[in-house]
Amino acid sequence: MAAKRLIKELDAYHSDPSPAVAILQPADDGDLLHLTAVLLGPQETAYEGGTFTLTLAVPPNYPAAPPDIRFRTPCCHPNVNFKTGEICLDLLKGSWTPAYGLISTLEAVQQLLSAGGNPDSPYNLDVARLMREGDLVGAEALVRFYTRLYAWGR
Amino acid sequence: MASYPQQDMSDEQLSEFQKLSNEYVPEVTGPLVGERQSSTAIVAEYASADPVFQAKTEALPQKYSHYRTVRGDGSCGWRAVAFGYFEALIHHGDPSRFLEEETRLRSSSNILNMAGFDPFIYEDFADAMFDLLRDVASAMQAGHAEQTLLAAFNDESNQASILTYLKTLTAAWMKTRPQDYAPWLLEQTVEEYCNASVMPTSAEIENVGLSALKDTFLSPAGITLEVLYLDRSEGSEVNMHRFSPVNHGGFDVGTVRLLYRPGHYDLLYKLQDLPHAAASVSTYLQIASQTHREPICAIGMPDFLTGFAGMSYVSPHQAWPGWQQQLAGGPFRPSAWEFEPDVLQATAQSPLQTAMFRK
Repeated sequence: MAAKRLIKELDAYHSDPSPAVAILQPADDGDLLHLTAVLLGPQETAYEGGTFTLTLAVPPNYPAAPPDIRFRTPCCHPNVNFKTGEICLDLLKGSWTPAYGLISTLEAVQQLLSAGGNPDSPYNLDVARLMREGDLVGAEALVRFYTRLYAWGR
Repeated sequence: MASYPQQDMSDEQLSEFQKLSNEYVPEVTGPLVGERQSSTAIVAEYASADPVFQAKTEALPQKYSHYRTVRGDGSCGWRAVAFGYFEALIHHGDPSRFLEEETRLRSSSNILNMAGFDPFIYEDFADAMFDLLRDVASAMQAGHAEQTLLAAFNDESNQASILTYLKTLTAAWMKTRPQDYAPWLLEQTVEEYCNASVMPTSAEIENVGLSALKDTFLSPAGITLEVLYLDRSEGSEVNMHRFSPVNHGGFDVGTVRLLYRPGHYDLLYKLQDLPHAAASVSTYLQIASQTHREPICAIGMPDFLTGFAGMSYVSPHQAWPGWQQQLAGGPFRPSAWEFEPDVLQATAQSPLQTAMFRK
């Protein structure tokens, strides 16, 4: 089930690429269930110009269960764990529906970056605190700094 | 003043409890859809409950002789409607109805595309639905439709595909006519509601979603939806809410009856909903010999084209004419709510109203 669906999704991605996702491919040839993706930082945000590598671990019962998606490029965002790359997104947990695919999920992650996130359930306390205290200039500067440090020109 | 234990807890304890509560998954057992059984079992279950429940459950078997359990895993409402739909078609007794339904649902892919769902993703779930329609139709001629249906719904992944299809269909229907449903959503757009309360696998059916599912899935099939509320409200009987309009086009295939207990749906049956062994056997034989030699023959039915989006006799300029418009000039018998705009307005806008009884 998972493999059949993944092949269809990869085919659809190749014939109609997503503006948010620069690369989506299996991490190595023999294994469809582990993929690598490159997500583009959304334009007109502090993530602009960044290219973020993510890994996608697809469970064997996919699409009944969601893929496990993590940032490999450090990403400074209140709902992304800076060290492990874990993402706090309801879509990847309780709100998963088999009618989403990998691309639409990655687009939702990009959406999470451009929306600024929710500082009330933070994975990244530093940037969340700045946002909660209303220091949006500081928060944006921090994001821009880390984006430039880790996600530029890779 | 009584102090609640929570007030004595530290923030850490509170967040620990919150975490436990978020992660709590009730242990659910039993078949996904159970065998039909006498509703006296419900009376026994509530024999030691409080007087309101006792009175209501004791009156239940007089009107509703049987019931069927649906596993309370958070999808029971969706599953109960889906199962009830197939049972109503079986009970109706005409195998060609299954092909008509497949044709109708296939034409709904226009709505799914319009709502932005990717065909290559939803087609697997749609195929599960179409396959089951065909399997049950052929099992019907062999006389074991009910067993086939029960087996299909107890196959975890197969039934999950069918539920995903129904959720997608419901969300697409709502998203393509947001004006009909927006008034019933509090501080939520139709889009947000669909993403949070219709599409997720974990989202149990809510009243607005149930109303939309009825509008797009049951009504065009001529199936009526009744929900019987077993709760602590006043009265000595379960409260019945028949979702209106009763059906489209004036034809009546059957009724899906849901027993609602707060947070859970099961299926209920009146005696008239049950298969009568002797009668049904002769019906199957008759139909098998007359109309079902080749499924493709049924395509010749005169109103076949109206099953397709944009191919009804009216509104050729509209990509997807509403059902009302199709009815206005279509091949169906006019129904009461066409003549009385007030009825239409009242029913179309009040999925939460429970006053539309018809005894």
